[in-house]
This record gives sequence, C-alpha cells and structure tokens, in this order.
Amino acid sequence: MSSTPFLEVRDLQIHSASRELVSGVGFQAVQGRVLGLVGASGSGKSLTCLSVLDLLPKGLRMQGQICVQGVALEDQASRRAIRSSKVGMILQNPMSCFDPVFTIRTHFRETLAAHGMLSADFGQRMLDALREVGFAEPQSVPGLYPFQMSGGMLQRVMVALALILEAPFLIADEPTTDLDTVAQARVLDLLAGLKERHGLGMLLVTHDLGVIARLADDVAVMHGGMIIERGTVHEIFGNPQHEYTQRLIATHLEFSGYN
Amino acid sequence: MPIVELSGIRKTYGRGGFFRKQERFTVLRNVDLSLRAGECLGLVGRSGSGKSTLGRIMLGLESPDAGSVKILGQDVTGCTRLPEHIRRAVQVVFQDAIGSTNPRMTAGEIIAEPLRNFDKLQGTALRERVAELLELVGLSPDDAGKLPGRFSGGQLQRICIARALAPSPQVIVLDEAVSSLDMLIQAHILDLLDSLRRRYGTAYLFVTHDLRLVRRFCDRAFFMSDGNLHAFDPAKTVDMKGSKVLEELFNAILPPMPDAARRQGNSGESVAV
Repeated sequence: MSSTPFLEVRDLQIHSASRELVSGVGFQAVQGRVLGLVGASGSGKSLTCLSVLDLLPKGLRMQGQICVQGVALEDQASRRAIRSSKVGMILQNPMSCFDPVFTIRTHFRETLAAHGMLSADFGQRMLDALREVGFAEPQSVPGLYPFQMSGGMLQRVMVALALILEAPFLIADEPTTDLDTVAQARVLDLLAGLKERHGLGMLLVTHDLGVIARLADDVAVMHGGMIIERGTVHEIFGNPQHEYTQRLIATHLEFSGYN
Repeated sequence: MPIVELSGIRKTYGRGGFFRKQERFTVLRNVDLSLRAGECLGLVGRSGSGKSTLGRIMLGLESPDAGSVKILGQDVTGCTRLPEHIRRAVQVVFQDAIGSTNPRMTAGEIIAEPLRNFDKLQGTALRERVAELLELVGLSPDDAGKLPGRFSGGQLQRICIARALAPSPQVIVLDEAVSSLDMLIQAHILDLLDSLRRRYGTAYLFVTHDLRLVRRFCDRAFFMSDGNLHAFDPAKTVDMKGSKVLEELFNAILPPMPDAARRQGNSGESVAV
C-alpha cells in the first residue's frame, strides 16, 4: 500500500433527527486499489459514500473527518469542490441519472461546463471517453437520447462522464445492481480495466459478494452503521472472523454452488 | 388443472415512432406456458427479451395480440378488469420497489390495502395481520408507521413482498423481486417462499437474469430468446453449450471466490467489452 491514502474517512457519524445511522466509520482507500464496502440494505453503506461528497439528503447531519490526498475537508464548500475533479461518482440507477429530454452530447457538455473544462476539443475528448468505456463506434452515441439506450449502455456512459473530468478516484454505489448479468459482467470488466490501465482508485459499494470477489482488493463489512470487519479480499473470503461475515460468505458460497 | 395456462401468446410493441415512423417489434411469438399449484417456474433472459411482458400478460395487466390466457380455468384473455377472486389469486412483486409504493402511505397502510379490499379486515385484526406480515419478511412491527421514504431500497422491496403475500395468493409473479436484496435477505425470502409453497401450494413465476437464483429455487426453468421459450434443467449448469443466450448468461455468473476471479479477469481482458 502507498503511504498516503487518497481518501481517508475518520470517525464518521451520521444522525437523523433522533437516531444515529452511521457511527464511528473509518477507512482508507488508496489509488490503484478497489475498496469494497459490503453490508445489508440499510446498514449505512450509501450514506457513507454520499457524505464524502456532501450529498446527504436533507435532515441528516454528519460529523467526522474526511481527508482527500492528506488534506482535511472541513466544510461543505471543500467537500463540494472535490466532486468530479478529484472524486467521480456513479450511482445505481442509470435510467434516473440522465435527463430524458437531452441527448448524451448535451450531458457531456453540461458536465464539462459545470467544472469550467469546456474547450474546443470537446467533441474529440467525448469520443475518446466513450471509446474508453467500450463503445466500439462512439460516433453514433452522442446523438442518442437516454431512453434509446439500454441500462448497461447508460451505465457505461455514466462511467465515461466520470472519466472525462479525469478524476483519479471513483465512488461506485451499487453500479451493477440494476443491470442484467451479462451487462453487469461487462461493466465490471470495464472498471477492472480502468483500475489496471489508469491506476484508478475505487470505493465500491455493493451487496453482492460476487461483485466483491470479481473486483475488490480490500473489503470492509458494514453492519448496523458500523464497520465490523476489514481485510484484504482473500482474508475476508478465506477466513472471516465476525459471525455476520461468516454467515454472509457461507450464503454466498451456497448460492454460487461452491462446495 | 394448471392455475395459469397461456397458449399461443403473441405480443408486438411499436418501437420508436416519437419523431419518425414506428417500427413493429415482436417480443413474444407463439408462447405456451402452464403453471401448476406448488410449482416454481424460472424465467431467465437478457433485459429486453420479453420476460416481464410475459409476466404482465399472466397478470392480466396487458392483453396479448393473439393467444389465450386462462387463470383458474377461466378464460380471461383481453379482460380489462379481472374478476375479484382472480385478482386476489394472482399477485405480483415488481423490481422497482420505490415506483410500486405510494410515497404518501405508511408501510402499514400499504400492506393493509389488499387485506381491507379482499378480506374486509378492520381494526385490531388488521393491525395484527400487518404486524405478522412485517415479521414474516424480517422487518419489525414498529416499521408499520413509517413512510416509504424512510426505508432503504431492500427494506421497501420486502414491504412489497409482504403486500403480495397478504391476500394468500395462489400465484405470485416475482419480476426481479429479490435482485436488489442482499444475500442473507435473499436466502431468507427464498426460504419463506419455499415454505409457503410446501404449506399452501403457492406457485411462482420467478423472472430473473441470475442463474444462481434459478438453480437455488426453481423446479423448471425456461430461457427466452427471439420471443420463444426454451426449456432447460435448472439443476444442470454444465450442459449449457447448446444455446448462445444461456451460455452468455452462464459465463456472466460472478465468481464465488476472489482467486478464481483474478484468473477469470485476466482471460476476460482479451474479449471486447
């Protein structure tokens, strides 16, 4: 592991009005490795990700320290400033992340303009990004509307939108849950390729241990708003310590027909 | 007697056509399917292959262009409003839990709706049954007062499953119903559905794209391609060389262990994404 982690979260707490939803979560993620965050639905995985980029829904408060490249982000403005320029994000449901009345080209232009990176070679950069995420003929893509594309295609466009800002780190919140298995395998291959080719770091949130087995290098297991176990993917799969992790792994192996 | 019997179903949609001439797209050609009591039938295929359309036709939500639908022995082809006893017998859980719950109704009200309409339950009896259903799907009876916005996606999906179980149906169409749940909950829900099947002879049409779940849960299975159904044995996963669709789905099954994954990843790199 490299000496300074790219993203470090220390003692993160998230409260709704009355309840503590996430308590004392801390982790470090480095570039070129994938940190997988697994846990049951409602265990606080997504909230943890959202709080890094100050995207928490209204009414939730967070405490704790978030550091990017060793610099602590103390206030809202600094957490917003790293969005897309340092940390890109892809979400679960690609269909609802695009505006159906605009073409893919408009989405690219808007993203770049929002970050002040719109330049004359915009068209070429867009095509390069689309080629990078596996569109063999990217020329035909920018003219399409989101509803003319399948979920797997849109998810790859979303990765391209994150890539075009050249963020060195990606937060992927259930990136393949809504896709069919074949599209899922392709998106995971794509993410694995990006890690290898560009040394992209990733925080990968998922409930599917198959996705973790495919992509993650390190794993943190969340349960009831806390991280209960962490280790490399081989440690977690080979020798789970916590009772919850053991049940999770056993169920996963049974489902996969692995004995 | 089969509970649901579909014969010669054909369904065509118009595609595109907002700005230019519509093109016709046939999703189902001549599909026959029958579902008996206590049976679990798996239906797999890639997205867009017509799995959900078949489920919706089975529910009477859509009418086929040709062919007939019989539920409980009664021909209901093209009915705009199914008779009450049939509406009660056939329930559904959709993939999109957020889209299938009313954000202004509490979890308790959502689950109570079929109970009030079909069973005419009221007061304490209604509350007790709702609490029982919530516990059945692994939630707490205290959750009854919360609005859908307060639940996570997986918890909301379980509320939808509880609502489908409420009127004790004879058939449940599970359209990607468990794919957004984590594995422990998936296993819990599948065990629950299994026990209902043994106890009450509930039948399921299990629509999914995950062959792991079909292997775990189904007696018979079909895959869809080009609008036709092809049968395969859910227990056998070695004998899948025959079909391109099935092979593709089978190859996309995620690895059980990380080591195998790395090897698979390396060989997969040469394949075009």
